[in-house]
Amino acid sequence: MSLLDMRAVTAGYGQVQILDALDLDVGAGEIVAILGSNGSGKSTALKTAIGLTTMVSGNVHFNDQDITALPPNKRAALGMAYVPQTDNVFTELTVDENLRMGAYLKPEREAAGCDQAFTLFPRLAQRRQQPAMNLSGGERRMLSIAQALLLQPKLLLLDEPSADLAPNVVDTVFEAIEEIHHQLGIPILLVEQNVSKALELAHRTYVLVRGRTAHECPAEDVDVDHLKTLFIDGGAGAAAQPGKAG
Amino acid sequence: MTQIFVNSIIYGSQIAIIAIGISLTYSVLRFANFAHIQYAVIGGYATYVFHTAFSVPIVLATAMSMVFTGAFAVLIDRIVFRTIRHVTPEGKMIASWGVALFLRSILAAIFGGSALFFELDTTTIRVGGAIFTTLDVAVVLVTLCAMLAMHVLLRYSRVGVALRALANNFELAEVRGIPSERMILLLWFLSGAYAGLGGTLFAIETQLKPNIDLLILLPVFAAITIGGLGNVYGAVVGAMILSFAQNILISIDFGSLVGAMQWYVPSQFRDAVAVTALVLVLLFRPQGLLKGLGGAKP
Repeated sequence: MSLLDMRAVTAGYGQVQILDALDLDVGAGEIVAILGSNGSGKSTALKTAIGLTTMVSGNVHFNDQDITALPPNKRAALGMAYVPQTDNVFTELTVDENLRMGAYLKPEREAAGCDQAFTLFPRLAQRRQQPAMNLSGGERRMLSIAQALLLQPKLLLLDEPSADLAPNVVDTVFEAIEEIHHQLGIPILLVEQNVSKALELAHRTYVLVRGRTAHECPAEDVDVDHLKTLFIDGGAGAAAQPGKAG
Repeated sequence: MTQIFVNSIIYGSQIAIIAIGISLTYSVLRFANFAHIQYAVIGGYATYVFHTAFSVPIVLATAMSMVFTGAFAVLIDRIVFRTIRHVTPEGKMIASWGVALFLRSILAAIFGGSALFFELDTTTIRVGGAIFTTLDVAVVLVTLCAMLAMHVLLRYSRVGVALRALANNFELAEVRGIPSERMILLLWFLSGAYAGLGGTLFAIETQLKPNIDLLILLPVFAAITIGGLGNVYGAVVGAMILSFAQNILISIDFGSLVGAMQWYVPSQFRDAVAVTALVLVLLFRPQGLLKGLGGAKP
């Protein structure tokens, strides 16, 4: 049985449906990447996994437990940690306070968790007393990942960790993701625009087109040409329905 | 001159404590709760009932009233505001008007329209030309303690930081496991308790009538608008700015300034100051002076 199991999930925001009978699963120890063009529903798939969307039908299981009706804070308590692409830190709180909130459910782990965060991202250690709004985009993403790790998650959901970052910062972030996976053994479900980076890291990939799984295979079997066809197809679909966010 | 300062501090304190509560709930729920003014009046009456009918000492009666008003605010949330959690802020604001009008008529029905007075022993103090009472001193000290307590709660306690996290980024706070609904209960309780305290301080210094809400409404909303809706420090700063502006304006002898006979702005024009301040802030700095629940330091 897989760790995260989404079956025939139709979901979206309010009246707008983005996911259309999506099937997706993540097994123990896996890194799974979701690829697709803008508007294909990649980010919505992650948000649905953590419970931030309106589900119309289908169900979501985590660790063999039906979590379809659980609110996000209960899913966090079960061990799911989500790192959003934007608005990923508490800008008005200091770095320390951000980490403290990461450990909200595990107050006893606060000190040890912060040490771990500063080992993983030494740059954050120098800015502990600063409000997170003073951090750069890369530092914010590092802080957000560090915050998520304080939950001691069983599954990490990462939404476009490379978006809007300078190439050297992208490398730092991806090295950290690899380290998290290797040292802590945390399975990761990842949404990524940077296809080559995602394929380097992932064991398995899903390609989403218009909210559905168009293709699923091990990362090494991904045929980049086939991927392009799917992307273009998906792109046309998204263009025909403006207003669908990625 | 000292008298203006003393009067401004006393009046500003009363307004600030009530304004803090509105800013607290606004910061997370994003609507200005008009019924908050009624919570303050209810708090005043609750203290009066505990103190007069049950002969509870005034300090204890005030504490009991804070708990009562806090619980009352939670109850109103369960009955009204929770059921419309996903309605637009404008919708919630209008609903809060409805709650305010309802509570206002209930109060009038129970206590009647005539004024009630707290009869407390108080001594007059004179310092350098200024006259005030021991009661005034107590009001200001209690206000200071209440502000300090709120500051410590929001800055240093785990739940306080969690409240600021919810105010700053609600979705992320939920995703990190912060139980938003339980936090909202705490928020209402704190907000109601501060309304109860503020209403009591206001009533102790003046009188208790169902329609004193009209005396509180304008300055409190002017204060939170000046200070920045949703920022508890802003609420205090706004209340003080407003109070000083009002008291200074009605104390200046404009007649002598232009060489004529003495002429002061009539004290009824205090409200005009509040409205002018409100308009100026909305025109030139609609976000207020400070932003975010305790995010920016004063």
